[in-house]
Parts: sequence; C-alpha cells; structure tokens
Amino acid sequence: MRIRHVIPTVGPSASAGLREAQELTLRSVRTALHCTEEGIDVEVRAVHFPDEPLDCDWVTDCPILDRSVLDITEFEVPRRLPLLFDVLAGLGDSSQYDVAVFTNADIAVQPLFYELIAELHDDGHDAASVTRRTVHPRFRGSSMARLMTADSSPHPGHDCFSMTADIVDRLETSNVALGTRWVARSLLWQLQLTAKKFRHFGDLHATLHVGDDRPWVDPQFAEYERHNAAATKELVRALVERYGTSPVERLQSIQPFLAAIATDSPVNARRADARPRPYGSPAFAGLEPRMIFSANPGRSGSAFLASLLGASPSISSGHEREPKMVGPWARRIAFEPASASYDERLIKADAVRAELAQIPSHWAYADSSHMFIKTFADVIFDEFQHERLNVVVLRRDPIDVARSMFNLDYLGPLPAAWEDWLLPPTAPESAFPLDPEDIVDQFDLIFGYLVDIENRTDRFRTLAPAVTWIDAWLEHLASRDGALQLFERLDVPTPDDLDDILADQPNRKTQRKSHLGQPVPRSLVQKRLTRFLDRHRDRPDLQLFIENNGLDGL
Amino acid sequence: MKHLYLIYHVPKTGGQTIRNHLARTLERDLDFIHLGKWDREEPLSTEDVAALSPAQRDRLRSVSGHPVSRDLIPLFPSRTIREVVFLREPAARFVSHYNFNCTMRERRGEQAPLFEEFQAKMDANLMTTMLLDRLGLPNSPRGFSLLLAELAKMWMVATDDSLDVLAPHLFSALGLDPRLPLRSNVTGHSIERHISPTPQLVDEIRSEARLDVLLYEATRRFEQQTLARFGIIEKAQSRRPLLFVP
Repeated sequence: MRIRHVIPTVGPSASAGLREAQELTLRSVRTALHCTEEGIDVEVRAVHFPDEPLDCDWVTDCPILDRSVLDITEFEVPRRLPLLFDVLAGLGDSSQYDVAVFTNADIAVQPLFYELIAELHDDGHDAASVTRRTVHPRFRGSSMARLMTADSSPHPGHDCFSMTADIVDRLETSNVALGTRWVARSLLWQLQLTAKKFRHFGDLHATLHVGDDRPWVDPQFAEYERHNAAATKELVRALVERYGTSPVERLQSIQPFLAAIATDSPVNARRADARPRPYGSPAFAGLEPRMIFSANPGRSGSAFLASLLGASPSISSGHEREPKMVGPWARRIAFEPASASYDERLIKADAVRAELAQIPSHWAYADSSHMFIKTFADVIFDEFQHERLNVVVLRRDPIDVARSMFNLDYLGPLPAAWEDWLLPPTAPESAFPLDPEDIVDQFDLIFGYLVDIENRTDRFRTLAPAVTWIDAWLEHLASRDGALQLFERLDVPTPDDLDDILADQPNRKTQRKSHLGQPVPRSLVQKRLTRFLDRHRDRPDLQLFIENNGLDGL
Repeated sequence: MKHLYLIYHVPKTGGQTIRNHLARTLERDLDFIHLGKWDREEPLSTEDVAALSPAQRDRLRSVSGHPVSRDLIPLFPSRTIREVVFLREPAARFVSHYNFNCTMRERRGEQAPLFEEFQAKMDANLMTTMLLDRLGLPNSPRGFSLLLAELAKMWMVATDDSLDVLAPHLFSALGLDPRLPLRSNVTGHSIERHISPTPQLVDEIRSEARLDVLLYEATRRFEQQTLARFGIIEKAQSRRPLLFVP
C-alpha cells in the first residue's frame, strides 16, 4: 500500500508555539515511518509557502502554495492562512498513491499510525476521520515519550483524514482556509457523501495535540470564520447539485448552510455553531447518529422498550429490525464458534449502516431485539464507534421470565419456532454449558439459557467498556420515573405522550399462551429455580446471574 | 455433468445478458433451459422440465429465467446444485424495470404507464419477495433472515457491478469459452430511457424498498466473498479469532 501524507507546514514567521508543535509532529512522523512495516510505503509531503521553508531533509518539499486566503477576501486583521484544497493539491498525481492522509502541522502521530491507516483501509474504510487526543505537558515540559503515553482526553472535531486516491479525485474544491472554523466540515461532508464506508474514529489513541488551546475561538478570527462559512455555503450548494438534497441534508451541522442557500442569505454563524447537547462527554457531540440496542433474553419487555423509545421524537425505533438474525444465524452461534459465521454476520452491520443513512444525524437508531446479544453484538461493536452505542440491559424477574417461557413452551421437547431464536445451554457454544445428562426438565434448559444471556452480556460489557451500558429493570422502566430516567440517560427528548404509552403495555403473547393452555404457578417456578441454583451453585459462571438478579436469598 | 447451475433471475439484474450468452454458445433447450416466455408462444415452467426424460435432464447444464425455483432441485437427484444470483441496487433496478416496461408496451402499441402508476402497482421489494418465493422460504417475520442465510451459502452471489468479472467464471464452469464477451441490454440503446434516477428519485424509491436495500447491502457483502473465492480479490483477513471467542 502506498500512503501519501500531506502536512501544511509553517516557517520562520509562525509563532514559537506552533513551530514547537510542528517539531513534535515531525519527530513523531519520523518515528512512525521507522515503525512502519515493509509493504506500506509512506511518503510525507510538506506543503508550504515558498518563503516559509522547512528545514527537514526526509520529507518531500512542496513549496507550492502560491496564494492564501488574503488573495480571496479582504480582512481587517491579515492572517496568511493557506486554503485547504490548495494544500490537498500537494498530494499530486493520484495514480502514485493508494491512500491520502491529511493532518495539520500541530497533530502528532503515534508510532503505529501508518499501520493503523493501512489497516483501516484494508478493513474497507475508504475514508476516515481520526480525531486527535488532547494531552497536557507537565509543568516543566514533557518529552515526546511522555506526551505519547500521557493520560489524554478525547476532543471534538476533525483534524486528521484519510481517503483513497479515487475519493481525492472526486473532491469538490472550495476556498475554505485552514486554521479557522468550518474547514474540516468541508472535507468531512464530502467524505461522508462519497465514501462507501466512511467512519469517524473519535476516540482512538492514534494522534495527539499538546494542549487544548483552540485558537479559532479567538474573536479576532470572526471575520475568517465568516469567510469560511461563506465558502462552505458555496461548497454545500455544489454538493446539493451533485448528490441531491436528501443525502446532503442528513449531514450533521449542515442545516444552517442549507437554510442560507434557501433564503439566499449569509450563514447564521451562531446557528451554524450550535452543537447538539453533549452526550456523556462534550467530546462525543459529533458522533451521531447514535444507536441503542438491548441485551435481554426475550420475554423481558423488549417490545415495550421499543415502543417506549419509538415515542421519543428523535429515535427511529423498532423491535427486531431486519434482518432479525434469527433461524440459521442463531443456530450457527449456538453450534459453531462465533468466528465461523463472523464474516457473514457483518451483513447486520451493513444493514444498520443503511438504516442510519436514512435518518437525520441528530436522531438515534434503536433496536430492542433480544437477538442483539446473541447474534450480532460482536459485529456492531466492531463496526461502529463505541461512544455512539448504547445498550439497555433489560432485566425482569427471572422467575417471571422463566414462567412466561415455560407457558409458551420455549425450549420444550418438541421442535418449534423457539429454535430460531433461543440458544440451548446444551449447545457447544453456550456461555453456560450444561451436560445433557444433567437436564432434569425443561426448566433446567430455560434457566441455563437465562444464565447464558447474563454471561454473554457480561463478556461484551467487559470487552466494550466505552459503550454506554444502561441497566434497567422492566418493572422500573414501566413507571414514569423509570422511563424518564432512561430518556435522560440516553439524552433524548422525552415523548409528550409518555403517560399514554406507559398505560398501554401490551403483552403480545397473551393469546398464544391461552392457546397453549399450560399455565404454571409462580411458586412452582421459584422452587425449580432454587433447585437449579442449588445444583450449580459452585459454578463460578453462575455467580453473576445470582448477583445481578438478586437471587442470593434463594 | 456433475453440477447443475440454477441461475435465479430477478428482472433487470443482468439475467438477459447471461441468457443471451448461453443462447449464443449452447444448444438451447438441450444444454440449457430458460424458463419463462422469452420468444415462445407459451412460457416454459418447472412442469416442462419435469416432463423431460432422465437422459434429457442429465444433459442440462443450467436452468435460468424468472420462474427458476428450488422446486426444480428434486428433479435432479443425482446432480450437485450450484445456485447463482445477481442483484442490483434497488433504485437503479426499479428505474430500469420501468424503462423496460415502457419500451415493451410501446413496441406492442400500448400506452406506457406513468411512473407513479408503475410504482403503485409494482412490489417495491421485488427482489426480496421474488427470492423468498423462488427459494421456498416463508414470507414471514423470519423470512428475511432465512433468505440472507441461504444467500450466504450460494455458489455465486453478486451485484451486477461484478457481472463482467464473474461471468467468465460461471461460463467456464458451464464448460463454455470464458473469453467470449458479454453483450448487455443497455438502457438508451435497445431500451428507451423514459426516466433517469435523480438523487431525489433514488431516495424516494429506496425509502419504499427497505428490504431490498438491506438485501442489496448483504449481497454486496457476500459478493466480496464470491470474488475472493474466485481469486478476483484477496480474501479479507478476519480478526475474529482473537476476540469474543467463548
């Protein structure tokens, strides 16, 4: 793979702080070049004004900037800022590289940065934004090694892009200037529209910036911000012409520009600056649309959860959305290692991605399916940024769940539809395997299945700590307080008709239960659960189920 | 021949291109059968295949056409079935279907329908509905999952984008000269372009064809596996064994 990395470098006239940051950047890039394996050819190009030379003999010198923003517009306070697309022109002939990388002069890279870029593209990400981490030097200064390994915090925005040569060729150009607001958006939006599989990596420890200075918030930059807003507006006009209105209006933060085009007026900078309410951490405000899934065993109120979420004006919610990943998919998970079906199961992530493209960026996509934790959590966690993901761990008293399952004859002796979605604990890949010889009755299978779900959930929870995991008991969720808490945790608007929704909680299986006609008393289920726990109490993989469901007393 | 190739054909997904190629290179009705009407008075159906003698069936290399379904499989108990399907981006397919429909009607001296009329009459998720039916799968809440699982097992699954690179492999497997170029049915040449897929129209069609959109996305995924299997692209390295293994 041939990677070409352009960096707009500064020269002697730049501030001491920026030159110092650039020095760190170049040292880090050199280190990364040393750490890059054979087979990945990296060329670093320093793009600059001819009279701002760079003293560095291992980069390709590109003194090609023959104009600045000052040649485009007049400003009261002149700042000689390069134009983004002039810098990207420094990439040169697109037949000479496979992947282009653009970073600013003050973005340092980690030693395996180029390996990462190559891997992202091998994974099919034909364009990506990798947002920097912010590190703070010690009071007396820090070495590069210290900065690279220091505690860091995520940062909003976009400052490092990678894209295929083909995408570079298709970019619309504009006169946006570097170093002020809206510059990154003019590239980001195009990548989102053009790429087959764009991804924003907002929390990778791949690049870093020292300090959190944000010079563009300086009021002196306001006129440059207005310039960039106007240039971006023209770019948006071109994007609408090329891609149509619908794909463009789904892009985050683009509405003020579309409104300005529609009314033929300047971009309302304040409105354009408005960000969605921060979610969890301010850094994650730009990571939408978000996704909400649920970890539950079924018969736990997942349909109710879907209708509750769907009542929010900014959630596209469904219960068991297509493809449901049932039937053969569940059987493969039960009887083969998850790795055997992994590549095929990526279709679920593709489907979610297709659905996300249909909803506004400030909305959330929700699917409360109990198949999530069984047949597609791993592909979702692999394919989407964890900070965008929320998982509602939905619990209901296991005695009630087991009773409901028994009444529906789940895991019963006769072949039935449950085989399409339940994982028997006697299957080889169960997360709570039971020897068939140990099965006394149907309740053993049901309880074993419930423990499997508990352990499966915990396994993913451990492996994906950056996902927002929300524990909820159905009984609490069905109350006004519980529902309000859920919406607050998810940071989505509460539905106006919340009381109506809470008053109308259908049990969709009531009719089928009455048809089967084998109701079982709750006390009997409790006795069977006690017996099950007694028989397996020594197993370490049962403890979480006991603890999380408050079964210590049984 | 050990293998029998069942080539499922959803309208406007490249099926005619394959059919025409087979017709140029094989003995029609002897080496291959194309079910449906084509240029006949009466369309051929599964019953016509069932009526063939065992020797005639043994000679067949492929069965293609809109009516091809898994109902054919029991008629070939000694053959290994290889299933082939090409699908197309739903909005592009829908628009092409409309253009084709208009042209055919005009050739028959009939009035071409308005696009809105065609849209109202036509199944927005035709690819999904048709494949569910042809594969004998239930059109039920679990049907779509079953359909995708079946597609994952097929011998050749791809989009029309890959037709040019995969067709030689299909023809080679059928014992034909893979170097013979394809001749396709291009709108604007043999088919009149009544409507073009503008971005707005594409969005509108895709919003109605939710299942077909998901089917197409899955097909693109399976297409990568098909291309890798035929050595056209490198097999993507899955890192799965490192994580989430119980």
